[in-house]
Amino acid sequence: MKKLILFIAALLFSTFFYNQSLGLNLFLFSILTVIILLINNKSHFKNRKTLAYAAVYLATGLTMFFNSSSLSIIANLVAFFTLIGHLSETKSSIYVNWLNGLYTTIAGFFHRNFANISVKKETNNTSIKTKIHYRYWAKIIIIPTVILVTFIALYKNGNPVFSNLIEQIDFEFINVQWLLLAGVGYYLFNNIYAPIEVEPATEYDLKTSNTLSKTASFSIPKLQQENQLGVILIALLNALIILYLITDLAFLASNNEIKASLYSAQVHNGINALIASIVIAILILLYVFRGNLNFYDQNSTLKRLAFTWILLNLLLVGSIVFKNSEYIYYFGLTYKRIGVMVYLLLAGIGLITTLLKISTVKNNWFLFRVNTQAAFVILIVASTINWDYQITKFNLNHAQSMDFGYLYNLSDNNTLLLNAQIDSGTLDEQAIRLIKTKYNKYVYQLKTHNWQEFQYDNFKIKKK
Amino acid sequence: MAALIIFTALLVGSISVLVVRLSVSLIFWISKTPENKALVFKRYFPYYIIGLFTLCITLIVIAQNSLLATYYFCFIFITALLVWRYELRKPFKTIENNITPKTPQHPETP
Repeated sequence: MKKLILFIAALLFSTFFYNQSLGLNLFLFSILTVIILLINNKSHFKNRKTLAYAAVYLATGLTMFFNSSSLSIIANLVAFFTLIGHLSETKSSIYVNWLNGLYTTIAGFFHRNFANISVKKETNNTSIKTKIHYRYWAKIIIIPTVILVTFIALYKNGNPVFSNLIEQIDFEFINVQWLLLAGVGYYLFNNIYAPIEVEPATEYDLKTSNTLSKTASFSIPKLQQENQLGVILIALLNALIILYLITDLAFLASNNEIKASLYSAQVHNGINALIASIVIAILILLYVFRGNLNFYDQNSTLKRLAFTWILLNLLLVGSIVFKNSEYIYYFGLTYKRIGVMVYLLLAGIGLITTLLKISTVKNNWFLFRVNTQAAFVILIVASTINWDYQITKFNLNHAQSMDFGYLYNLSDNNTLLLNAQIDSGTLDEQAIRLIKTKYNKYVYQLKTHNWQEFQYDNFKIKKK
Repeated sequence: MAALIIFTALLVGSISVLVVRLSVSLIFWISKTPENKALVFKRYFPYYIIGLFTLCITLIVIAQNSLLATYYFCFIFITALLVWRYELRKPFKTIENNITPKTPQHPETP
């Protein structure tokens, strides 16, 4: 029964993906994967976290149907590995889930097979039985097929009606490539139906807790020195960041009317340096609070200074967000500017989790676990947004200036919106011509899509 | 021409199989407990196969998804799995194995 389900799933896999671009098929594949996993891991699906991961995976499949972007594909792939890895070990961290998910996807079947080799060696009878089984199936399939084909060839020559009937049967859609892809599908589903784990990594992850503990090298004089060094260093860095923030505030207050060249240089040169400074700030704090200093009784001043520094760094993040937002307001949204925002969001989360790590005496694994989870959530949320559409909408309606070339070169996700803009009268003739060419090409592409490649835009143009 | 193609394919195939075979053997050689195949498999196989898969996918992408490259790297991947299977099934050869023990073997404790 299990084999039959996997066989049907493999045929569906090839039907979904052979010679097709991605669209509805990715969502259908996601549903198929969840069904296969559900059939074989029913007990796991009672867990809320598993259900949440399955829902996230299906949602990313759906975003491909709506948004059709590379980000959706990446999010779908990551969600796929997360779900499978989670099924292999429900208590492991998310990055171990990714590792287990990847391992299961590429070698699950062989791992189970290898693990059984020693058992099989002990029972020779099983291997004898298997050989007989294969020969039996070979006989059952090959001999009747050969005889049947021979007789069909003979009867074809004897009767023109039968000959016509045989010639009408069209197996064109099944070719070697289609069958090979079905084979890949079978291998994939056979791998994932019972998820496995990378044992050393999973065991180590399960053994590693989030809390720090005092080590044997705890020495008061040494910690006193470390504490002094930390206080001086972080106090100086606090003073420096306060000075920087004051000058930054003065700069922002003095520039009411924005100058493009000045602001562009400010944003491009400044933001990279500031982001690097935030990352270095986190690394310094991790170094200072790496061990026994967390348990030193007189570390309260150092902790207060560290918290202040984190808060000041958060203010710095806020100032960069403000600068980038102004830049976006004047010159429009671009992927780079969105990327800066995402980077700042991640840096902000990093700072807050560092604060939590210091205040609750956690180790670096805690930081790594929480931040990878945060990155996963951001990736999933980001994949649900149709960025090309939103960039175009914002730049056309809200930005003070707009680069049409940039919008034109975005993916087809903004084509219908650009086409709707033609009647607004804000575009020149060349832009209108370019939009019309892009629109016609896209509509042709949509109309020639097979059902597997359907996107939400297919239904939009049908309504028109 | 056909003979040349067959010869080249056989040559490339043989060299590839040899390289894969050597890479798997290397894992056993560098491991501290080569006689405990189950342990070597548990510790190293996942990382080996993930590494090989990543390498194959990267090279397929570099070759711009060419059909020939896809088939070749699929062949490499499957060969690696079969070589591991062979290595695990093959009995471990040591000098000690060739000497028949004089003392009777104790039954295994459950």
